[in-house]
Amino acid sequence: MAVNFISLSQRIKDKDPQGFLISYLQLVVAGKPLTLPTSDVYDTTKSAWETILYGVPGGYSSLFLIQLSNIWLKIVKAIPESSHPEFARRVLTYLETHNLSELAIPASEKPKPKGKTHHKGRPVIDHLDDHQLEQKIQTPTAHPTLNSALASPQASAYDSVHTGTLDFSKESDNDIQLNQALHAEDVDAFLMSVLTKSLYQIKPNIPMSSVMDIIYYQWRDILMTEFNQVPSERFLKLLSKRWFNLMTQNGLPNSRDKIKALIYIVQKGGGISQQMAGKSMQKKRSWWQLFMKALTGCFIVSLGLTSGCREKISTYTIPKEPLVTDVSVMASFKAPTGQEALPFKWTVPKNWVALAAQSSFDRARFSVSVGTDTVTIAITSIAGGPPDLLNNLNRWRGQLKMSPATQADLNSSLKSIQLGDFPIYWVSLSNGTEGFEIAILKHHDENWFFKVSGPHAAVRQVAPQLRTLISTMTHQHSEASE
Amino acid sequence: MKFLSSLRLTVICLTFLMALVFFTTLAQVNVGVLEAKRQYFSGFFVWKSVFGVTIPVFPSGIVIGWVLFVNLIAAHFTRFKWGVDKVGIWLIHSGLIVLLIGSACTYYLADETQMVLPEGQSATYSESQQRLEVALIKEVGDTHQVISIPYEVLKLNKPLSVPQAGIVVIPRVMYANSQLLTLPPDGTIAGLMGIARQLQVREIDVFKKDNFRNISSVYLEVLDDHRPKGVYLLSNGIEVSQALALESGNWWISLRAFRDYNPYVMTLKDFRHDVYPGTQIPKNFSSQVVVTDSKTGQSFESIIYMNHPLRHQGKTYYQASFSDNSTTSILQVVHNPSWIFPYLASVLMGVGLIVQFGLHIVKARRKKS
Repeated sequence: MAVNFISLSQRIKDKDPQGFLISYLQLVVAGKPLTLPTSDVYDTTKSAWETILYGVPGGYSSLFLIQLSNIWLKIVKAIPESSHPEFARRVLTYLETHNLSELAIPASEKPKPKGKTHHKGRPVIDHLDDHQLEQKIQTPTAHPTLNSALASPQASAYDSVHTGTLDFSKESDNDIQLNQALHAEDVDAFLMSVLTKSLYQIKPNIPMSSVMDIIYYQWRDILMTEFNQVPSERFLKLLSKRWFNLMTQNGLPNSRDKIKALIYIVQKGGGISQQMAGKSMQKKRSWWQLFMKALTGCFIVSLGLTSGCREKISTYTIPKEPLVTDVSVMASFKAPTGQEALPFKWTVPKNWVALAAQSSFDRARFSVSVGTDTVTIAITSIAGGPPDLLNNLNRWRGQLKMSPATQADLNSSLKSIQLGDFPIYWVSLSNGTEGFEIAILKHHDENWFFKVSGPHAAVRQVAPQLRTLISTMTHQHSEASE
Repeated sequence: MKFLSSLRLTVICLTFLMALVFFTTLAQVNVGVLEAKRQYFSGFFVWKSVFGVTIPVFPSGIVIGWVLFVNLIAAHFTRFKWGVDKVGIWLIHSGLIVLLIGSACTYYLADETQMVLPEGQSATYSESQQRLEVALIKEVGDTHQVISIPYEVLKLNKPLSVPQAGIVVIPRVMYANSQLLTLPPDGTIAGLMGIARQLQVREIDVFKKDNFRNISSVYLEVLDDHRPKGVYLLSNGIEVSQALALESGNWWISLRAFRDYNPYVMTLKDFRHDVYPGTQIPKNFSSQVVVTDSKTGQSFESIIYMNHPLRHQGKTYYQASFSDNSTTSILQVVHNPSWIFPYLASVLMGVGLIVQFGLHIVKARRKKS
């Protein structure tokens, strides 16, 4: 047969990996620009051959790829690396002089394994994986369960798999077992079959997640699409739970070693068997229900406590302290902070009614009736530097729903006048119905605001009374010194 | 149970919480921090008026917090399995749980009050800015016996028994916010006693902004051994304590800010309000205080300034404000028994992150080698 790409396709069709390699190497020796995998790592080698096979017309089976990779790894280990055509020539000679057909026998045609040490009947793939297993055992992984499975002294994971109830060398048997497991809703048997099946697939179709929700939905999709089965909710839950436990204890099965170790763990019943899973879930559920009930109880009680814990009448004894017991009206009004005295003294017009302070800024507050209207006079003080007149003006204009003022507006609406001992700024504002008359006084590091607010006409009438009050103002300390 | 431990619920809760924080931030512009906190984080739901009907529109912060906590606990026990490689995750999640527990404890147990201290004066108590109490005070030798009735327990026209004084009180009219006018009463309420005979109360809209104080007022009927003693006007706008002669003795009654008394005396030696030279820009506010134990008489001195509070007997004193030409210091007093939780949570989460990333680095290096 002439060596060309068609012959390569034929070799694949014949399931003859050695023949394929011979043909391929002949092309390399003939000077075709083809690559040759040189790695001695199984995954890398397999990946490289996968890329090469992708360029060959016609399809290839995953088993063929695995067998090809296995043979190549054997060759790479047997023949020292050299230059590209020289290496190809030497490999070709090796292939022509050695019969590697044992490695190339399809798994389904091999005799059934008998006993733990019957290695001859293994699928080709596993022959070299033993070497990898040994490597793994020498370098323990972070997963103790998985590691113990890989390093099990009494039998390797591989051996355990082969001595189990399932014969993984026959895929058809495996499918039957799988369907039976599905029918019987036997989680462990099902997992054994699926995991074994996954060993022969390039991309194993198993959930690659340790999140319960994702596991649940992925298993449902796999069962429906791969096996045309609509699983029962119970089976799906048990399966997801079992898988979740396996994933959280052993990590994701992202390599063949891990899949094999998982098969071993499932077969050994490591963790929870189907019945045990049911029991444990039931036990867990009752424990959970109790715990969650307790938490819910805490929640309700604590909400009640929010309002309840501070609503108790309490009694205590303290050293005697002064009490204000003068029931005359003015004495009874609480100073804004309850502590300080005013720095000024003023004479309040007789028709003004004193009000209690309504904010921490209030120094005094009055109301006065003008006909049917009521006008409020608030005297407040705020600590700070020189008053920001424009900002304050705009704040008041905002309260009256008037448009903001400019600097020019400020100059026109602000009057600087002297009332008694004090130089003050005076502002008059009105929106037609409501109005403000405001006096601003700077005293030490505080700004004092005297604000008359109410219906526009009434405010206009009260404004002169405010001027009178300010005119009568004197410093408290100056009186004291006199 | 599956939903309770699901990641979906976590994401929903976190989204809700983000939205809640956003709307609370907006709300506090109009109603102030405390009112916004009350509206959005207390109770079961956030209530809004839609076409005149008040309906729940959102779960409250405390409900979301609890659901998140239960979700985290459930996920912790159902999803995570113990393993050396998962120590970091466990620590991080434990830290988060501790943080949530701490938040809940702070919400339920923490209390904030203010202490107003003029220079050279002392105080043995701090006052709440939100809570009020009806105080009944009786002189007993050199001491005052105080009965504190939280204002929240008073319900309109509902008799409340105060066995400690042998009386029953019935709130007849209640005002959440009011103006007190120096006018004679209009005669609508009979049997007025004390200062109620000199004042009128006008109801006004409730202030919701933080720097405005509501003047709550109540006409309180007092029954002494089932005999009516009259109706007293109590208001936190009135400083006076009114006399109340009862079978159990002579008492003084008043409505005032809730007081939290300490077993020690705090004296303000000096308050400093430093500014940058040539400007009015504040540089430093500090209070030099002396704390004297009431029983032992032992004292110590401390300076309270920004980011340097005084912690004493479970309370933390922060420099909050000042008044009276910088001669009076206002200290914020925080009593939070669960203050340790955030620190503990931070340590747990920090260690957890270090362990988790450390493990990943070790794994990656092993894999590489």
